[in-house]
Amino acid sequence: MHTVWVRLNAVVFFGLTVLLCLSILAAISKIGHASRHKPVIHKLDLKTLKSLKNHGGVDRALLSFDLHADMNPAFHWNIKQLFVYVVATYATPVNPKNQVVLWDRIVEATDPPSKKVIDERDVFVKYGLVDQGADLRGKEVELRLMWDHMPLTGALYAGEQEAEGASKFALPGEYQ
Amino acid sequence: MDYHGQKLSENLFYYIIILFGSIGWIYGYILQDFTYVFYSWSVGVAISIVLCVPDWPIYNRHPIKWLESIPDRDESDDEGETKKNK
Repeated sequence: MHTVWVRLNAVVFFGLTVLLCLSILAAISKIGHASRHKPVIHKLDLKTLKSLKNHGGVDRALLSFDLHADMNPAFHWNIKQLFVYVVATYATPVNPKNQVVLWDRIVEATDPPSKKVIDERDVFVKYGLVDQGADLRGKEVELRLMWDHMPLTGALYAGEQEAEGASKFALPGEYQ
Repeated sequence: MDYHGQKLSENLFYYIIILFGSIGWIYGYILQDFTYVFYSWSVGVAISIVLCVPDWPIYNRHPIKWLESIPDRDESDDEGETKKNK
């Protein structure tokens, strides 16, 4: 504390230490928020199946879906953004459980509340429903909304739509 | 800056930064927005830098009392022999 530089160093780094403590306290204050406040998934259904084809020994289905979900309840002061994605789940003889991401979007904390509601009809998939083999024909596919919470301070943690609310559809038995 | 001044300066910025940080934290918790914490904290740090870093007069009110210098101290030998200068 005997020169300007020593004092400046002391003030700045004490300040940063205090900021670190404030950040950690903010994170602690929101433990348990996710179990008490859940986003409302109004609708996640298949709209149309455009095609189911086989290319190079690999099946691929292209489709569109309707999505209406209110993500506002998931936000609090320690959330920077949510990474929201649509997952298609199905079973094949080769792989008992397949989960394929069809679509995703980042919803930021700085977005207005209206933009935190995803309400879109006839959304075409960003990524095709691609199987590891040629086993998509006739399979039942479940569509489910999942999301990652990306906090300001702390580790990422996931959230998902209730299993009972998820819609299912069947892929045709023939390629089309 | 004398010792009392250094202690005053250090206590001051401890209190200022923690106070601004805490008030910002409570306000931010109520509004569920961490931006308020950050702004309040940075105001506290800015005030602390202005108040505590420069060598203001309040920090020099207890100057160190050095001992009087011992007069006539030439480079005499350890044995105490006095040198006769020309």
